[in-house]
Amino acid sequence: MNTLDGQLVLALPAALATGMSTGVGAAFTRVATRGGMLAWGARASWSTATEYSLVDTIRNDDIRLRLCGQLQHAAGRGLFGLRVGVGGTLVYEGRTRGQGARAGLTGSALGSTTWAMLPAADIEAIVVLRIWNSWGMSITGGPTLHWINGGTRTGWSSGLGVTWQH
Amino acid sequence: MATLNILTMATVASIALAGCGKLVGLNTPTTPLEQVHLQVTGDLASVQRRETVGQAPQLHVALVWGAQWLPEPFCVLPPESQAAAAVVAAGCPDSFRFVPDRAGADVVVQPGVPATIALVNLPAADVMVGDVTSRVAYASLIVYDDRNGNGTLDFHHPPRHHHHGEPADVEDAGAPGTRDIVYGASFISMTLPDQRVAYREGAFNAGVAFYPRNGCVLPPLPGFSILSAGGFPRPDFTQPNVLLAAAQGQLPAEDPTTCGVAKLDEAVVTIPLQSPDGLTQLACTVGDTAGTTFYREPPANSPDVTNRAWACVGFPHLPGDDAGVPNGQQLVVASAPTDACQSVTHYTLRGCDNDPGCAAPSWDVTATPPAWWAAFCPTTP
Repeated sequence: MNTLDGQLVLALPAALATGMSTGVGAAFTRVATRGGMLAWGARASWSTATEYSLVDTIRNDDIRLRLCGQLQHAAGRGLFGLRVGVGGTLVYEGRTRGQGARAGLTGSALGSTTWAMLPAADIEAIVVLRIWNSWGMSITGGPTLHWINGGTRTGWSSGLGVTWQH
Repeated sequence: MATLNILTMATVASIALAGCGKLVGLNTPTTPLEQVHLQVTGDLASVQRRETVGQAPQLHVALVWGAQWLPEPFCVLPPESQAAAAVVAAGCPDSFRFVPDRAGADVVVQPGVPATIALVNLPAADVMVGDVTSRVAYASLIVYDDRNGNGTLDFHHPPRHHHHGEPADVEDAGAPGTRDIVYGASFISMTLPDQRVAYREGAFNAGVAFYPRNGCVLPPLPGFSILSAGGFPRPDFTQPNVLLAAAQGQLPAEDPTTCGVAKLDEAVVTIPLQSPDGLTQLACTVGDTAGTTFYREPPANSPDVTNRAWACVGFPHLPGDDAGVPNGQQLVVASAPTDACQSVTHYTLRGCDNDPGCAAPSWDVTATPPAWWAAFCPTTP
């Protein structure tokens, strides 16, 4: 059985110490064993967060890309699972100097951008409820781990969306 | 299956690209927009308050943006008696003084040692005067002893009265033993030599008359700059023509040879230490920036006039312009010398908060004044 879902995503930003990153994501999983207990697949999401320091406005766009292994159990119209993902989070960081335009700053003094790929792993609990034919809804959530600037940062991510199973 | 392959390839590629940039996040270094170079001069011991001798002073310099304000008429017009003059002297601050609005950057200083104040932010729009196409803000660099150690110059304000009862907002002066003490400033009064920090956006409109520098030809530079002037002679408001000119916004001219405009990195603001006795008002905001006089209904019990100057006087008006001047008298009581801010309290037997001659008075006790009133104003009502 294949499962495709699209979700609204809420997560702690991968590289910001505070704030909430919001966006959308999609995942595809395919049953790997005859009994349907194991599945594997991939997941991608984009979310963004904007925060403010004393002097800067920081926007982070997180593009999370994961290969997933999923342990799952079907019960009635529901599917309960635990999904482990490894991969990377591509972070786009945009920095704009607060009041910089008003102060006449230009170029790198006014703002800068950076891309960085952060190795990442996460675990998510997943609940899928089939509602009509192949269509249902899914809820996911769990902790995340990113490697950033030589250290690790823990966080969380969650999602709520529509599922198609075939 | 194709979808899965695409996602798989993207994930594998992302891992291969790991670590291609360095994120800064919220831990960005605070790069100042500009820096003000300054030096405090003089010997603190020679001007230090007696009660603070032996204590280790924590000298700071605060960059303080100024407010646009008007003094109340009673404080500007020629006093009608010696008693009124005493009230003006005790309760009215210098009409040409720099009035603080908001403290900005702050730095620890030592006399004789050059220092810099980093300007991380621009002045907020509400401390700028003018419209969005031509507005300006001025700041004074104020030297103070941070006695409560909070790293900022604490402002006080005079009591704000309603017509009934006690002051609605009593003076926020803090305990006298921990009040910050001002020992100098780069801009104290328009009648004294000054160096001020200016921030200008757009054109310069001299018509807004914000701490005007009549006689100085060059306006502030766009952005930050340091302005200097020698100060104009104090106008003699006993002369009706001088008073009228001031009322029309025409203040005396500065000596052009004392005027200067410089970029921040071309100037050093020098702040001499001086006796704090005449500088207390630099830490005082004003209750009303429009020069409005607030009147109060006389309380049932006599106001405390211990160590305070008081007078029973008429209502202020420009000489020769008697039309519309209310009848009767007012009792004016100056603030006490120990108060952090100078102020004058006005009592009238009849009136409204800001108009003793209003048609529908908020109070009228002319027929039954409090018993103590006659001791202060025996000829009224």
